[in-house]
Amino acid sequence: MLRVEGICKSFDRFNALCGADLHVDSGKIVAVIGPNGAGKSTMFKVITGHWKPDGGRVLFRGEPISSLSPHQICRKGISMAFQIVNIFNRMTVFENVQAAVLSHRRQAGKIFRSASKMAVGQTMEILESVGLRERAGCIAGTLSYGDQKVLEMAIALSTRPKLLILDEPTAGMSPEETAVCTGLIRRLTAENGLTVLFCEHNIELVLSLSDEIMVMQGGKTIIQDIPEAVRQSPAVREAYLGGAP
Amino acid sequence: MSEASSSLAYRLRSLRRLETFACLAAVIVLLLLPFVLPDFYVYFAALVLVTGLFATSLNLVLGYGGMYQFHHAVFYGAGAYAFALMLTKAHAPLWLACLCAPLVSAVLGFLIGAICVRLSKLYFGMLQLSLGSLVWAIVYRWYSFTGGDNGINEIPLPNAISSTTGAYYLTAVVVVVCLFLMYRIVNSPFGKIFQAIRDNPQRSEAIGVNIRLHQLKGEVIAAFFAGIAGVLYVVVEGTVVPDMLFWTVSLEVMVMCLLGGWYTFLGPLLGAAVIVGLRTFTGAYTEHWSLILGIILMALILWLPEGVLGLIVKPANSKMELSAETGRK
Amino acid sequence: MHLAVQLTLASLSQQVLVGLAETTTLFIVSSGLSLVLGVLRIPNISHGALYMLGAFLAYSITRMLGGTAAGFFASLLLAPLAVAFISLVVERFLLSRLYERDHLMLLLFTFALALVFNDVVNIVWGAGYRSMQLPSMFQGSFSFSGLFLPRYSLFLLCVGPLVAIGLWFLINRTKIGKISRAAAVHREMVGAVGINVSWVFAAVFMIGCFLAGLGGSLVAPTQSITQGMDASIIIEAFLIVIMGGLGNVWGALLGSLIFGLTDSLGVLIWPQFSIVFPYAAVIVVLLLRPAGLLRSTW
Repeated sequence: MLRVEGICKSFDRFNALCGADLHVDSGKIVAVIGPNGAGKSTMFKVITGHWKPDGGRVLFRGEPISSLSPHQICRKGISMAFQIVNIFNRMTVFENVQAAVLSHRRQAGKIFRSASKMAVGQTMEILESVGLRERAGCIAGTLSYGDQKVLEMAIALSTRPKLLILDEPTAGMSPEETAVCTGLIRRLTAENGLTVLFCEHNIELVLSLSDEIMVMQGGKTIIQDIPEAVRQSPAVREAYLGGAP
Repeated sequence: MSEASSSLAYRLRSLRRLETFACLAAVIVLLLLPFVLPDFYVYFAALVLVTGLFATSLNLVLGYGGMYQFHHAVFYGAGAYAFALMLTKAHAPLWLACLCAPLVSAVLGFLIGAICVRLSKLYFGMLQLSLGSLVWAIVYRWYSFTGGDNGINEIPLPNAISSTTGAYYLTAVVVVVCLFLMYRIVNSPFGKIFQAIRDNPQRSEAIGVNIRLHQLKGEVIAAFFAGIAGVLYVVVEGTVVPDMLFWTVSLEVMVMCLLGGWYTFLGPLLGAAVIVGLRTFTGAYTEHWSLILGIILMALILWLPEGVLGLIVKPANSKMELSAETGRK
Repeated sequence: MHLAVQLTLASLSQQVLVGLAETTTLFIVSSGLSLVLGVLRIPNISHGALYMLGAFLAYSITRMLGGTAAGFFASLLLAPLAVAFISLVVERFLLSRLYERDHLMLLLFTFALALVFNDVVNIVWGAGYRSMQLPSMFQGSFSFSGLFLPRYSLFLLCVGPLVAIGLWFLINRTKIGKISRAAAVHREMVGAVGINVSWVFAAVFMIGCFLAGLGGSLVAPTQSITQGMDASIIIEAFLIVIMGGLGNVWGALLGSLIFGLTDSLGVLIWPQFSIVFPYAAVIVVLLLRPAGLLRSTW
């Protein structure tokens, strides 16, 4: 479904990515791991079009997408939940999801129709499925951190993506929140037949959730394989434990 | 769970009913004003309405769109000049002038927007300020066409709308219609997405919104309504001067939005009433209006950044959150 | 035919020289604005009002000192210092509370300051305009090979590079310059290593406003000093700063050169609408480079 081939990206003189490869097959959950600064977030931002790569290419369903802008990539069917919470603070939870649904339905330009009765069913359905239905009327900025992360995921789901990208979905969450969130990801992917690409520092979560793991270091791909193989790979041990005594 | 959402729906419905009543009452008051008030106050009310429309049109992009619209007065002035010039130079029929003037503003909005919208937030504002000043400078220097710093006087208007009461009624009707339209726009999918862009441009892009295009549309719409306000200004005042599109006017209108509360729909109208009122009535006692305005503005920014209406709306929201919290437990 | 060509060439180069001299004040004012914008992130609308205040102060100081050349030179130093002092008070008591707010609030707040300054000028100096004479040493003009260059323009042409060198020294060679460059990028970081960022900001703001005052006192003898003289200079300074790149002092230099030259050449081509030319230049620059000519060095 998604192929990343040898993408490079540098900022000033710092090479954040130098030849990273990745492939995500339809219906799989793929995790990207690697030490801080390995280029995980940069790679995600290149895939979603926030940054243009200096070299290499990104193919989504056989089509090159690296020259498209973020909103065009979203319309191709890639959706992303960001690492830092990225929601519409001053709007209600309902409006947050509704905006995404309306945008997905290409109704963003409608000027004289009242939005209050549009896409209500679908919006409520999405909120129901992530468990935020009761909070539909709250201003999003007043939610707890965990709920904001969940809302973020709900927004990402609202555009009916084929590929969902999660950048550290449980970062900063309490253990309970993490458990809830993990269950949520598992259930949502199963229900919607999603393909998921995510990166995470919580190794247990990665091992339990993913079908395949890609390991990055210094902007390069070290290995991409099933969890068991990755666990036993000497190269990964080197990368993760190399510096440790 | 369904209980919570149905009580929310109920509350929204009762709120809507309250709103409808308030609107009707406001319209009736507006219609009756000329019967009870002396002429000067009728003129004053018309001026407040015009300025309120102008401020609300600014708030469309400033408060709802989160765009740094630093020079909105250009569109106000462009509408007024287009209207006056069509009547005096082209001798166009009144209806045509009324129709074309806001369109001229909208086209100007499109031009300035198209140049500015690609830039980042602060650049957008500063370049708009500069381009707007260019328009002002052209109007100011083009004596043969715009009358330079004398502006345009003796604009031929039919008696029915140039009398104080006539101008008032025309203004009131147009302003009410425009406010209704803008309210629809703010609550339309377009408006919701516009607010989403204000809150988080990066997120909006990631849900498939073409931010630049959306902002450009918003700019054109706001310019259009500002143009209508400009036409009404000519009707009320009977004259146009280049000072209308000087940049200080733009900032003064921003102060109105800030004073009323720019995350609320009626805030700018309230702000306009307060500022126009203060300017008119302190004018009788002191010439230090700019000192007064400056001090008010400082106080607002230091202590009341959400504006008067924002202050009222905010506690209501936190209460809502509280009830949802207890609902979950 | 030959004469006509020579004449236009002469008037052209004369126009360029005079334009360059005017560019000096533009540069001084806009580099101050750019400094404040780059380090403190304040789009300081009151910068123009400070410029005006500088002009009025220079007028009064020169008069107090008897209108001599010495008095004029003293005013060139004292008026900007007074402006800098006023700005220090404003920064300490008002602006320093607002650094966390967004640009819009800062813009409006400085607008409020501009309104207040305008009224203060009105109260102190009255609504009429003032004018002061150039000291006799600057009256008249030099002439060489058919060009007439006013002596004062020549003086301005010397002051401009001096200020530029001074700024370069300040930014690159002094401690405060280095700290403020770092503070502009990582405010918390600089605070974390134990430097009092707040005072660095105050100092930078003072320097920026000093430049506004200096610009004002330099133009004081060349034009009538009135209330409202701030309104046009601030827009020009904004334009220059956007064109050059926000917060980049060299951008301000480049921007004011382009602005001054297009403006003075525009006068030759289309006097009534000469103002169109600098704006056209800005639009062209921004269409090609949306973030300004030079990258923000901060």
